Amino acid sequence: MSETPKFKVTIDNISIEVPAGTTILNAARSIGGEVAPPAMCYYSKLQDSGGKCRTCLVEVSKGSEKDPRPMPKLVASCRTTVMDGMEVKNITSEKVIDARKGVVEFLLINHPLDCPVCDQAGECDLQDLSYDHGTEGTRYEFKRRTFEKEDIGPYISLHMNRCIMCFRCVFAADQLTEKREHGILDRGDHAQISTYLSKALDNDFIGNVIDVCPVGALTDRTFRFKNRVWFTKPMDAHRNCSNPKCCGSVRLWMRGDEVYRVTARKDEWNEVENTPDGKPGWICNECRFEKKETKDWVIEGPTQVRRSSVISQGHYEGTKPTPVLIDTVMGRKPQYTIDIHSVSDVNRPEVELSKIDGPAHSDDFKPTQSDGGLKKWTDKLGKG
Amino acid sequence: MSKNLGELSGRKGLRENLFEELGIAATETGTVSKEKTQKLAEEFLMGTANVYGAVTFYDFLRPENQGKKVYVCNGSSCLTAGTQGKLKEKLRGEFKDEEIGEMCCLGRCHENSSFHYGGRNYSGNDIDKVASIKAGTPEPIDKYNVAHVGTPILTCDFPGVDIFYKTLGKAFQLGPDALLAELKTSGLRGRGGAGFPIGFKLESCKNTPGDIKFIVCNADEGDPGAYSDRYLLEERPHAVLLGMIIAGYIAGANTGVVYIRGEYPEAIEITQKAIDDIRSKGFVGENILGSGFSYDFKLIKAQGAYICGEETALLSSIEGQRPEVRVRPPYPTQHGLFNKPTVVNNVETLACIPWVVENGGAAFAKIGKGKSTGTKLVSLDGFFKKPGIYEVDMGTPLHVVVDQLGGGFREPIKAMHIGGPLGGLVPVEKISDLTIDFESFAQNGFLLGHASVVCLPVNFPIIKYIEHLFQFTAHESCGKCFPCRLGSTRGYEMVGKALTSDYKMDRELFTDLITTMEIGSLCALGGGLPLPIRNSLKYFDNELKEYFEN
Repeated sequence: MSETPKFKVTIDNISIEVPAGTTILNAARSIGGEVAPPAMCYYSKLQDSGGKCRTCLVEVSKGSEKDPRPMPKLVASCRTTVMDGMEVKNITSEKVIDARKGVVEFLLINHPLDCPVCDQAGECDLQDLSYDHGTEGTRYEFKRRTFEKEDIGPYISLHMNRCIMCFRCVFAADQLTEKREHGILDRGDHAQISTYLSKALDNDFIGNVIDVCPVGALTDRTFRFKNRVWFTKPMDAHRNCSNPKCCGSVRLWMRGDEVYRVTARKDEWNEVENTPDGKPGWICNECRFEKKETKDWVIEGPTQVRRSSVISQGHYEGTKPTPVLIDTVMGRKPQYTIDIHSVSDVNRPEVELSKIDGPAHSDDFKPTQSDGGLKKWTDKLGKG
Repeated sequence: MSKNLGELSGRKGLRENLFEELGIAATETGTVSKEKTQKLAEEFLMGTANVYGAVTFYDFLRPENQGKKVYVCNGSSCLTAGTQGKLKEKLRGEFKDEEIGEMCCLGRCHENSSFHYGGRNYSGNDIDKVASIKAGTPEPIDKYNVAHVGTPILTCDFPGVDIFYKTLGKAFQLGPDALLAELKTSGLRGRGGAGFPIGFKLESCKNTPGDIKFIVCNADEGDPGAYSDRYLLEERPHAVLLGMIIAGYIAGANTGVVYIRGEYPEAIEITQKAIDDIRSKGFVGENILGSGFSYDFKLIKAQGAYICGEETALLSSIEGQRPEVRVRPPYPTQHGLFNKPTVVNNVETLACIPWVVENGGAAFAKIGKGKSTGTKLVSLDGFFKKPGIYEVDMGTPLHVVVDQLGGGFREPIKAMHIGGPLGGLVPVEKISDLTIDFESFAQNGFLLGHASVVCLPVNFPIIKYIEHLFQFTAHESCGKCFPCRLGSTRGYEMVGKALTSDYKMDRELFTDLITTMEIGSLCALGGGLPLPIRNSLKYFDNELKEYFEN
């Protein structure tokens, strides 16, 4: 077989060469940083996902070297493949920023905004998206669609109120498990994710639907209300799992020696990481829900957490340095250049959570006399 | 998921079809029972959630449809005609409230007062005979005007099956390559709304390798106000069928699927009979006329979902999946029905093919104007003095259609909604600026679409019509892409609130809403709805401004 030809594509003025057949989104991801459009429904490890959420829309200002005409409409970057010489505008296009803002506004219309009681808070794609592209207030004052919370089986809880209908869980259930009991019912704005006749989902790999959910619609019942993710410390660990389809490499979310939660390992796009053999590192229910003791695992070390993530607020050693690509984008600071410690008053680099006895309290983050008192603290914030 | 399921569904081909089975299972009670859902899911290996998900998508399969006996048309034309309130009142004399459902456009826009009972459509004065209809005496099928200005390609007299199908022999003599060349010369473009040249589709499908290919006739004429496809299926079914056979011969497809909306029971019966006729005469089947080419038809009855008129949703529907719009690429000509190369075309487009073969592509291209070649069927609703189906050469002035063919309006009209719910809202003063062709409409900020005309009388509030359009889209949105799903519902709520309370809409918010739908939506439903709304804001601001705060 002949080698796949390479296409040159320029995204937000940064050029890169990618194999033909690569989507704009994946090309942008290989550049990294904010050049990568957000994706709420696309999931590279799930076949046929993408195309729905419209948050990854980009402007193609030049179709290709051969046919330089711009594309007439914004295109979904997750489903559009690059052409040689293509030029794409993501955050450098006002149209794109506008469209994204519109979509985010729509998404938040139905969302309950119950982040304070949502287990997903702190690692939620919708939160990130709203911070980056949303507005401060809502302009729509209408009834939100509401559903009863449903427990689908012993491990998973389904909050349809929070669901944005990305269908990722349906693809995951379809592609990772054997029975097709998890699906979409009704149509249009009445559509909802459900199981066939509220049946409990019982399958070795069904827990992965929690990991693919970009919001707090599917959460882990064994972790429910136990802790906030940013008060726990992620550690990479593995065990010799007897399930041949389970990769056994996980992320433990710990406080001291206590394992609060087990998830698959996720990459910087919040997708399940590939294992060394190139396959997605899905994990089985046993690893996820049943192995909650340190002795069950071989701990490899702390997870490298992005400095801009709220999870890094516990000041773990070895956090990833902040990649700085561009200082400002249309007058706005890109998220990657923000250090969470400089913008949030509950995040103080000098406080290490693992050293706090018992649960962390907001008092633990308040400035004390020993470090100069409130004034110094607010001065510091002011300079932030 | 969808690809995988498409293959599974295709395992049994079209002989045993999951979607058809679901329709049959729902005939008795109006919905599919849990036991049957389970059984079909096992039989087709599709999974209970997927089969149940599909059942709940369709108006005529979902559990809410259970026990419905009579359906009132809630399409745009019956709405502006204002006939349905009285109709419902009369039906209440014969039926219980819970037995009365709704259907969107029965294609009886020429006389309105439309309703559906016992697998038959009724309109006009039929409601006065509802007692006898209920007792089992159906009324005969409706009559309407049919005429033409220019070349009668689709409305010409039908010479009889044997003479008509002589064109098939001619096609076999020419061979697929020459036929394709003729079609390309003809410049024939899709009549369903998008105007894509059929030659390119057939060529792409022809060039895609594969033993199994399909020609699908999109007869899911869901646009309220349009009934030209119904005319063709009921009055000229052989033009459509022959067009499909020739298209199959060109593309190398041996199966034609006619997907007809469930709201057109008469069209389904007549087309099925036409298929049986030509099968008995040997115009379909194995080795047709000794040509070595085999072809057969499958007719599929749809179950009530406007979105199935979108070609990729239609394909998912036939596969028994939830009919959600697919992201293109891949295009159906490469990965279509059951993942096989497929050409999907509208009824009217396919019906033009026999004429092109008989008279040559150049003759077809000579008719019309610029890139809009051939003729176009126009559906006129009951506000015209002479409502009906008219065939005009592309490029014919709109006023010729309105005044000469339609005989003018019965009562004062302020706007015409042309081209279905996603077409433009044309104020009457613009009539003289427009000609019936794709370009003229597009240049003037409208859309030719299906060229159906729904009139808005002077006393019909534009805001009510906007509410209707949002309601329609909110009801019919498949829910896959966020802008359409959320935007249509919000729009409906906003307009509804402004209509029923002293709430005033924020103009910026309203335009932002339709802009997000327009630029963000996946298919033409969410992307197209903003057009008539923008037209309304532009031409009827005087009437609308009281509903806005600024």
